[in-house]
Amino acid sequence: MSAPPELAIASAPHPPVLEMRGVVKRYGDVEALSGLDLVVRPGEVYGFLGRNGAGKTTALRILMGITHATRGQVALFGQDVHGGSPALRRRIGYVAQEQNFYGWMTPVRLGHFLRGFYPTWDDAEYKRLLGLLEVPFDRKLGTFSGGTTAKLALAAALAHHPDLLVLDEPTAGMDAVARREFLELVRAQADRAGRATIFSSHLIDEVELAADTVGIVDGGRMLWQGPLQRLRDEVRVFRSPLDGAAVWPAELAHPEQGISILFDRVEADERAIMVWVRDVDASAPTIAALERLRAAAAGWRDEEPSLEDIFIALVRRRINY
Amino acid sequence: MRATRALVSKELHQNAGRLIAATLLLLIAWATAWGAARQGEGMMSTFQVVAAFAGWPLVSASLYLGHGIVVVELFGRTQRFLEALPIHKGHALLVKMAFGLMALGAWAALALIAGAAMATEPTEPRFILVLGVRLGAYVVCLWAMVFLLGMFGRMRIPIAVGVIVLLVAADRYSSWQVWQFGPFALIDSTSFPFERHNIPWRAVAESLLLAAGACAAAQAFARLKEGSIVEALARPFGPREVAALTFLGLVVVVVFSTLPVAAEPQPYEFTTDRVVHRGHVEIGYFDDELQSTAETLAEKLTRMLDEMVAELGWNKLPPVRVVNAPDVRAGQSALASNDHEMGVVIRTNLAQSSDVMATRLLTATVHALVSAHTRHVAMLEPRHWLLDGYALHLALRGRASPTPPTGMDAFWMDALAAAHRVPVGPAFLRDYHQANDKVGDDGANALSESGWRVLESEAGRGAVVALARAAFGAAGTGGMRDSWRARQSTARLFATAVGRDWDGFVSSWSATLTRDRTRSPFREALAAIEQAEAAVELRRAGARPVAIRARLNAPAGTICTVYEQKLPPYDGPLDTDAHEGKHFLWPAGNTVERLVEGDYGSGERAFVALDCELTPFAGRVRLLGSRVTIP
Repeated sequence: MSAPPELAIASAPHPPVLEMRGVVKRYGDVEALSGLDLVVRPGEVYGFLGRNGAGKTTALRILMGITHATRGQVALFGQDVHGGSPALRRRIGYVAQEQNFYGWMTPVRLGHFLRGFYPTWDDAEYKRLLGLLEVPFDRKLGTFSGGTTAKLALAAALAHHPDLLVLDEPTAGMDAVARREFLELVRAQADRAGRATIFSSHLIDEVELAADTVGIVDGGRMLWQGPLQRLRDEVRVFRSPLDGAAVWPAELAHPEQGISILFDRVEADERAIMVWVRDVDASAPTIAALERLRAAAAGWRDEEPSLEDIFIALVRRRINY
Repeated sequence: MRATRALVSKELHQNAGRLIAATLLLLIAWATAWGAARQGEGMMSTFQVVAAFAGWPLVSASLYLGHGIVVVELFGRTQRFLEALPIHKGHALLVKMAFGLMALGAWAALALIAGAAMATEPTEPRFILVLGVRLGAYVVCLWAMVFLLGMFGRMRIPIAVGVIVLLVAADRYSSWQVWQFGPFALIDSTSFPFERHNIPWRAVAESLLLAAGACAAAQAFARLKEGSIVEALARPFGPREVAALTFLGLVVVVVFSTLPVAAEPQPYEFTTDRVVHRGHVEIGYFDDELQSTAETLAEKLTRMLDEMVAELGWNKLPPVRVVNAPDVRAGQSALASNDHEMGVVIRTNLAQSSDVMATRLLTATVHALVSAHTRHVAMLEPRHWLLDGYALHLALRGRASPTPPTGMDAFWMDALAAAHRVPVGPAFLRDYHQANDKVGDDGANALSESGWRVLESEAGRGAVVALARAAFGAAGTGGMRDSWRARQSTARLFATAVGRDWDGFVSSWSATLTRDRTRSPFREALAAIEQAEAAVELRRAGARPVAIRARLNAPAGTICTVYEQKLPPYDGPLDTDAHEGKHFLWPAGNTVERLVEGDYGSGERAFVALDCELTPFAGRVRLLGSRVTIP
């Protein structure tokens, strides 16, 4: 049995910016998080992918100290965040899912207000970002559209040069153009400043566009997390015409061989099988297992599935380590 | 510190409009209360206005500000923005608490400063400290309660109404006197303006404990279920909740209407069959020998009351019961109970019957009935003298001259004697209770009555009836209308009813008394008391530090009385029933010195008076009446 991906990441050379271990959060009888593990490393753009109600916002609110975990450990910059230490939170830029700014404030006034909470606040950077995002300086926030408000929130979250940027479904309500601009800015600032970023979304294309690491959460548990490319490498779809003679090598496509079937179905006039190839041990890495499968599945067409297909298949199967 | 400054600055910007609006409204409330108090001429202390200001105006302002500071934040969900800021939980809430408290404190302090600046009474540091502590503790408690209430979001108004209903119910149906508790006691208008030395520590402690509890509850409530309860309450009412609250309100109304009202006092009933019945009048004489006296008195009373009812235009008259009470001093009457529904019970000594006794009894009856009919509005300053005068005037009708007499008239003599000490004029009319100090009840009544006589002589009976009806005709309601009536100035009342200029009449009244004091046969009768001298001598605190020295040319054996009453540390009308009178007989010779019996500590205050029963006066003549502070 190979090590779970998050542990593989945890053993990487750079200590994580954010680490959640076995986090459980209960609201009465409802369990919003059921032992969530999550790791974000410096410079990483982490796409936190999950359906509505999967537990993304709860996890991020715990991280921000707004709410407390029922059980488990949360560490920010190597320190336990239980109690929501203001000093640690000052190192985070946070864009909430729902912007609740004061309608009577203008962006300039908002900047003056936030300056009091962040010693590293940079007015010039704030104004530069407002200009870049085309946010009007002197209009009252109550008159802003949802997209402009989200851009303002991003500018406010970045203006104090945070070590970690936390975005909770920030593009909700934005049009396609605004969404694209927003995500490009997130990506660009991460590349430019080498800043760790975690953003939650239920939109796969957003994650594909901006993230280099992905975590898929469902039912309060992490289904998979790791580099996006690795996910693409591990999950493949094999197709064969229904009237063809190709035989599926069922003896190889077995969990004991490190290969799980995510789905096996008929699509149009083809049979489609999505497999998830995992390292079963150090001596049998993913690539080798996949090569063996390709060799045995003669006559089957090997395709790279979309992230959306992978996400849906994973969530439907709820396979996890 | 930077974060706190940012939060305070935010609150200031967010609530600037509210602060300005509330300040303006409070200024208007202050000016209105001040103007009303001045117009009514019944203001004994400017700090009465401060106490009134601390009531509904300040409560309303705190609710208005609390809405802006707490409720708007919750309803706008902007508290979510605040909780994401890098500050400790509760930090923003504490700043909000402190901000509101500072605003309320500033308003209260300004009111206190304004009260002190406008005060005509001494405002020594101790007095201001007492007022400051009272007002400070009250403001802390008020704001804490308002803040806690704000946490309940859409339920705050139903909860506030519920608390008020509970307080009213507790006050009405239990022995707990709510208005003597904590914050209510601190701004009680009967003690706030007058308590100059003692800080009411118990009420202060109760208020601060209540405030601490409310603050702790607000903080705990804000964190309960990680703030989700407060957030859930900060949503508009749903249709089901509206229906449930409406139902609850109806239940409360029904319950209240079915609750037994606190046992009403029962009307007085005679326990003897020796009672004379005449119309509304019953006289219990108890002793067969007094039956004829009782019957005569009942006839007089009935006749006079019928006349009064017709004159004042009343449509009903409550029962009048007179009880023979041998312990009551000759010539005096004591009011036992007085209610606009259950009537008047008066105790008098029928065995000591005389014309003066009958007059005093009739006067006391009219006084009590008018007072009850107007729900005591007629007793309020500055028109109390009008009632005292009218009651005696009606009692004297048919017995004494309705106009200033040409010959000797005992009650007119009382008036002239009183006018020697307190000339009729603005001071007498404004500070009637102080005039009462100086001339005593009998002198004050007679002086007041002289005004009615002068009016009758100058403008006829019609003017008397018109003024009496305007002043005492309308029944009291116990509500706002009474307050409005009480605020109407005497000058306006007089001009409206009589159609004459008030100042001109007062001048004429005063001139009549001045003229008669120098006219025979009054001048000779007044000579003795005009030459009399009386003074108070004060010694060091301890046993008997007060002495009265008086010089009077009076026959030996004249009955005189020394009165003494310990006073609270503020000036108010005397409770004449609490007078402790010590009678003595005037010795041979012109001068006496009497030590007042009470023991007094330094700084304590006392009222002392010396009255003598002299001829040809109807009442006791007051030679001295003074409020003193023991050195």
